[in-house]
Amino acid sequence: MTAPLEGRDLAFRIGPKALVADVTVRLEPGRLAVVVGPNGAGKSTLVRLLCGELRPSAGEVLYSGSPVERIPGWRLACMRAVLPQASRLAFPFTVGEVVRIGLDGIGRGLTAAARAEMVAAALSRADVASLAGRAYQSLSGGEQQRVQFARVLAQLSAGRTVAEAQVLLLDEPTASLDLTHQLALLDQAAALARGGMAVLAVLHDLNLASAYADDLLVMAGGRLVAAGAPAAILDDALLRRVFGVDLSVGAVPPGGRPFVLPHGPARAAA
Amino acid sequence: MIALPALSRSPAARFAALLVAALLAFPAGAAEARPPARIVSLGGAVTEILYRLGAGDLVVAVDTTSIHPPEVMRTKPNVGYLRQLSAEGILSARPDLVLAVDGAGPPDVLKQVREAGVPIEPIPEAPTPAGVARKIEAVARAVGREKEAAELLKEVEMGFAALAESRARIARPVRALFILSLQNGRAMVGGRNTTADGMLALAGAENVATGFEGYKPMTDEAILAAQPEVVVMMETGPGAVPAADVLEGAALSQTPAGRDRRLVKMNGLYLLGFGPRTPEAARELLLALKPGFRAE
Amino acid sequence: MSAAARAVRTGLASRGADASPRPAPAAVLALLAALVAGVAVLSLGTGAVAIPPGRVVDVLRAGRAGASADPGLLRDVAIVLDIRMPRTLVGLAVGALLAVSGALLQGLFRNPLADPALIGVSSGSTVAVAGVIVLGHRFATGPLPFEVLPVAAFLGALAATALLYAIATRRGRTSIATMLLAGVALAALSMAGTGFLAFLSDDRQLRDLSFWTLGAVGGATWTKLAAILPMLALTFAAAPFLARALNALVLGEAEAFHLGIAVQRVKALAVLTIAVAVGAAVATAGPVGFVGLVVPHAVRIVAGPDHRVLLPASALLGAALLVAADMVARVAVAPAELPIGIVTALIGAPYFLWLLLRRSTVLDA
Repeated sequence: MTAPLEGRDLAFRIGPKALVADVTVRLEPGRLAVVVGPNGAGKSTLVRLLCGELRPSAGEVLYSGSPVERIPGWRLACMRAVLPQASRLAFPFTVGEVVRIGLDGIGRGLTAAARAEMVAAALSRADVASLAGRAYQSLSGGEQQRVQFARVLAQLSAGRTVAEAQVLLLDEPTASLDLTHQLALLDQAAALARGGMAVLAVLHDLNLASAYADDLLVMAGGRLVAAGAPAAILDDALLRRVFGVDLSVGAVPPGGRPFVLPHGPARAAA
Repeated sequence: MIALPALSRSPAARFAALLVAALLAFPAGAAEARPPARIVSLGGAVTEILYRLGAGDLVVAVDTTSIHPPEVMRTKPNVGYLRQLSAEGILSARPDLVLAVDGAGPPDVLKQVREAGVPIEPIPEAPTPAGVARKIEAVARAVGREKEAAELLKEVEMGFAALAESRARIARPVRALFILSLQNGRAMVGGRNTTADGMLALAGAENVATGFEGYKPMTDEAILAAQPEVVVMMETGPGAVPAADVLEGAALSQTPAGRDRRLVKMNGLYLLGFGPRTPEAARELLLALKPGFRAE
Repeated sequence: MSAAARAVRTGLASRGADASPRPAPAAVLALLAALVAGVAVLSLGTGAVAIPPGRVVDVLRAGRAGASADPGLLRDVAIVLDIRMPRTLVGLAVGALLAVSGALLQGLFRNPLADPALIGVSSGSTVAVAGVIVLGHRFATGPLPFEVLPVAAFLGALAATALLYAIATRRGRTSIATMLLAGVALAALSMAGTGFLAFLSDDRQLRDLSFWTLGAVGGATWTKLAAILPMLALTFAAAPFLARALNALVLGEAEAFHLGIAVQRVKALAVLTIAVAVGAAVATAGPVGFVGLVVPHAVRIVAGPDHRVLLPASALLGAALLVAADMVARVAVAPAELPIGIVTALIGAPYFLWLLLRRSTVLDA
């Protein structure tokens, strides 16, 4: 069976510098993959390669077996959604309008009522239903991020009427969220994965990554340095090698999920 | 067809009704030969000529360049700048003839006026004595005042002839520079093929700005090299640059004109209008340029 | 951010957004259409010549045939049918083109302060027109045909935009930021070109040029209307497709791509549409300023930024505004006429300043 999204031997170079090199990932339906790594590891570039925004210097990206560049834009939009890092708007759209833009392009076969329902559902799943009439520009960064998530949810529910296998890519979705909403957003992402979607998220917080990831992908210097279940790969040596910190990985007893707790100066001796 | 009584409330409608009556009263074709009664005059010299021909009362509107005789500005509505006219503005004066000097426009606007049934008579323009005569003839023909024009033409011709005679007695033409304006000390001067150039020639002077056509800024060094003996400018309103400032500029102060403090100022339309007053203006300029010159 | 600061910020920015829900798009469009109709009718009855409304109606009813039967009507028929009517219709078309292209441009640049001058359209046409005014007579015997100037303006606009687009496009991707910066450079270059032509010009040519840059709808003819209509049709045909794409582009180029928008194709089409629309408007009426800037803003305040409403509503409001400004231009100093650019700038510039002041309080807070 072909995976909903597969990246094979991906490389992306600007001049002599490789931002991503030799990365092969395979997103499975029903699983939440989390990418971690230090700044400049190539995580965001990988997301942009996978979603089709960047053309790789080498390798290929396949959606359900088809090369991404051969898929028409509207169809690709039905198959995958992307939640970007913070975005600002130049015009005073309301929250409801921003979310509706998510399905304008791909929900044209839907009735107005069906679309309105999808927008409403997305708003409440992202916990922004109460903001629907507000101007997007007037919201805080975290609120804006939740609205963008609602927009992505709306796109996915419209796309589901066309495409069977769907992929959700999240680029540091929790950066500006408070703890409650970090957990709520990742809960939603995990629920979408349980519903059969292939989900990939870039996260900074190792503990959130460890808590939610079915598969953990660790990047450094543009390469994939480790991949597997968090419990299997997250250890003191990896932290030292990848992040350059001297910390001990603990484990939460119930699920055996590893955790990392900073405790004073942790800079590893080189 | 419209009921006339209902219309007679507004002046325009009353006029229209009168026009209908007039057209009914005269057989077709007779209207052609009738002399115009309401003239829009476009061009300062054209307006001047109309007044000299005794047709001033027939002028119903003028353009912004029509400033002589002075009463024009007080008594006649102004339809705007010669080159940027409005069709409806001209028509609102309800003219039966428009006299338009060369360059009046835009062309589309004149076309619209013509299409509204108002004839437009183009008046040729050339900065020479012959040009002035042609202008007078054209205006006279258009308004049917050839008799009055003959007198005016003779007067103008005699003026030019006397002027030519005086010019012939000038041993050495004075080197003159016409300055249109001074901005930040930079002089905009009259080069070849300008009305200023034509006027200097009539007044028996030598235009020192011959390196270019039209009105152009002239550099200080070029002015210095040209060594004008006298500067000619237009009189402008209050706030004009005082003579001292003009002549004390870095370049001009180093020329004979600056050293001898020789600046001649004359009214712009009088000086450059090329109308009936041109012989007189040229003579005045000649005498101003050559103060020692004895009038006969 | 302190709670107080946040309250202030939220209060400022959401004023009008929370309080009053937006009116239904259909209602806005119907109201604007009625406004356009009203202004157009007023325009037929307004001008230096006083023609009573009843007489205008008579002229319209009798038409040209009526004029040949009744010579007294001739002048009024000429004024209403050959001066005011084409002038009104050309004014409507120019206003609509300017406003729609302003809205498209602001959407494309994701900048509410963008103006058609930014993509070099005005600069290109100004240089071309200056060239024709100043140098045209050297290549022609006798007066130039009327059509040369508008054709030059149109071609100049297209050429400048094509150049900018080529400069900003690398490997099939157009950088909007590069386009903006190159537009500034091109504007400076064309100002130099126009300045040089002004230097070569004589007094009259200079005045012609400066009047042209202030714009005018006067001298509008049925021919000019016929020339501008295909451009209007082209713009209106492209607008619905662009509307949806521009909504997505407001989120960002990457986001629009994620939503299935063919971003590069949209950019190319938008730039082409804007160049054609502004080029046609400038060719017909000169570079009339501020309509393209002001109208989309006014519409956004009332009807929101959704381009599917914004574009048609801007077209209607732009049409009404330009014809209204033209009415002022033709009666303010009658029987002379103000350049229409002066009237639109008198409305536009203060509004623009207000916009800047308001913007700094809300967005940079």
